[in-house]
Amino acid sequence: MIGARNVCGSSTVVVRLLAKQKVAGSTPVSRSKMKPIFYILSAILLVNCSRGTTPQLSPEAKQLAAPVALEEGKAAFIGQVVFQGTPPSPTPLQVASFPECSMAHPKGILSEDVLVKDDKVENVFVYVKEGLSGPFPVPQEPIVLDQKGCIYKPHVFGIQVGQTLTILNSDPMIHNIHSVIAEETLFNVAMPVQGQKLTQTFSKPQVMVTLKCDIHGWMRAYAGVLPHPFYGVTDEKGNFEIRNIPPGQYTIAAWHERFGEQLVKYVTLKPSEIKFVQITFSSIP
Amino acid sequence: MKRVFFILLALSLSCQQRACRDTSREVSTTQGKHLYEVHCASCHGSKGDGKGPIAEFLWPKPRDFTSGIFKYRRTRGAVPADLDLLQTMKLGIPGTSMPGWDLLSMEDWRSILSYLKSFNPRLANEKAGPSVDTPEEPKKTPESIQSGRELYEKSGCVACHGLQGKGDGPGAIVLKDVWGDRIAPRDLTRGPLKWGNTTRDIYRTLMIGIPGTPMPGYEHTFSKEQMWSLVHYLKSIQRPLPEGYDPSSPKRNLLPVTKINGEIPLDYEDEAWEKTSSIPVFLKHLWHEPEATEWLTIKALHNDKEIAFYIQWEDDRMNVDPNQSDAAAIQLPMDTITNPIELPYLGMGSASKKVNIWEWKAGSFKDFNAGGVGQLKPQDLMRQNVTGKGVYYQGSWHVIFRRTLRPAENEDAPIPQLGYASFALWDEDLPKHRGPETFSEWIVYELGN
Repeated sequence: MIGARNVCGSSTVVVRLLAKQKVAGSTPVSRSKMKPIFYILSAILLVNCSRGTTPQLSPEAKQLAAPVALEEGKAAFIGQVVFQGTPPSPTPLQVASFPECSMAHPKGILSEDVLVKDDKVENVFVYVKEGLSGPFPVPQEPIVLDQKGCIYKPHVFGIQVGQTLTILNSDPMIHNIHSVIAEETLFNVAMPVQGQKLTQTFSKPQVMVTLKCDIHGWMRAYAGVLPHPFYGVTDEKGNFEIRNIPPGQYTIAAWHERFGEQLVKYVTLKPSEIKFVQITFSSIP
Repeated sequence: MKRVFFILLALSLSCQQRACRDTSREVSTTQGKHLYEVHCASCHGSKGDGKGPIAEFLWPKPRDFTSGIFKYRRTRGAVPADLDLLQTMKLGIPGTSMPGWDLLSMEDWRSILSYLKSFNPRLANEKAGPSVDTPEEPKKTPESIQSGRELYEKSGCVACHGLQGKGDGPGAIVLKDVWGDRIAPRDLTRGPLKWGNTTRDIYRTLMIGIPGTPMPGYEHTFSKEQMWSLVHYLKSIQRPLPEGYDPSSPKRNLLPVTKINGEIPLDYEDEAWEKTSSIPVFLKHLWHEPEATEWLTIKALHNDKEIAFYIQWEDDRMNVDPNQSDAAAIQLPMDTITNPIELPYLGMGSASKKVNIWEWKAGSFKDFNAGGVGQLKPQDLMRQNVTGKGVYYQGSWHVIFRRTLRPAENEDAPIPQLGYASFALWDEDLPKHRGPETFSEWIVYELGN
């Protein structure tokens, strides 16, 4: 633990580093180009500075101390999204009229729109919003979205413009996969066959594209479509990681389905730097 | 009738010859704006935002043109082609309140389209994608229908449209469109279907679905053969349309008024009526009710002194209580119309283009004048001159309206040799909404010699 500056200027916190995150938005690199390093992090706390909150890193974050592999000269954001206050509880979904769905979940299905555990927020899409100059090569490997037990896996994901989205239906009944931006249908395809596979791509950036099944109205997934691969999605511990970003000054945004979007502006990344970012949501807009 | 047929034929031919692409002549956004404000703005709003003064009485909701998002197209891509939009204006949309405007000329349609495009730059600037191809249709056979039925039953259609195709599947009640409004899956046993009723139209809808609605496309699921089988099955469960009725023909709303000698009988079983041929009229709904009557048949007679319209429609139950009565009405323009662009607004006219309304309700006939939605005034008791007779027999209403051809009163609509009328029905058994349950487009009648 070494000192790092808090943007609100109230205290100094130091961390060594974190480890495995749920999704890493990085271009694939060969092993040989990676080199494990321990970094000193500057922690930026995006809490409501005006309230004078003292920044605190969670014990989990402090304990996470594993090397982060980076391409040479590149940098990374790692961080955590927390919720301040009492978040709404997940509610049981009304699936009774669809026995084929309720049978897959003997204990019922809970809504996935707000998943907060010990103040840590899951399924937040964190991405570099401004400061990058592309173009960036489109990753070859597809992003996979599965429809299983009448829910989407994953619930929130990122994808680059032009990257293949492989959509699976693992259920023995029809789902229609309807992708919309606000009121505009991008595609709406029937997938009535178990094991059916469909590929789609997105042609322009959009945070977020909604994917839904109109028949099973609770089914929702959100795709952050970006012109670059620099994004992450928070895991159940609220952690995210965005790797191999070129050094520069950026605006980072964190989008949550119910909490809305927050921006972190003027964040500078030096070569080989790993910067810790904490993002706090405190209310539902 | 020959004259009307000739006019309509000329209209449709002129369109074919110029392949409906001529935009050079007489297309005027100013004229489009004028027509839009008379005929479209009540529902779609003067700003094109779908929030016209009567929009709240309609379901499905009128399209918001400012978003540039449309359901109907024969093309891929984000925006529809001009022809897609023209088709909607020309034919209307079955199962909704959108009437067809087949009576207008191509230039008038183009003028309205040109004004519509001013509501959203996307419509003006973006191009539609390629048309959806429909391969050659194989012959319909009992086997193709059977295989279509199997596909229908195992491919998720049942979830919304139900096992019998009546639009009552387990998922039907939860469906919403992208605008957040409740949406009902179509009762597939009732035609014509919204997005075209030919086998090619249905093939196309199955391929790409209906944008903005829950209806998905099946092009990634079915082979061409399977797609055609499903089309054959869907056609097989649809109740046949009335003989000779073509929902896409401009002649669909032409009513000959046959001349007879002697008095026009009020008994619908009279030989004079029996000998007269009827036309089927497909009705529009202000508020979609799955049980609403969708068809009306009309006959008309004159004898140089009087004119009579005999309308017949199916209704499961007779309601004649004065406070809760089934009813019917005929609407006629107060001005003699020489060009269809002069027609009043279909929903009871406007202050500058008034209408005369003949109503039959609870067994009696009344004569009204109207100059806009809700601006209905009964004529003075002494000047009431519409008579007739309504009979309920074996699940159908038979109502005859009769009036003198040349009334002395200037509150009464003139009956020119070539004129326009529209029809509306009320059914007391249906849930209450504002306005009639169903209504027709403008019908063109011509007095025979």
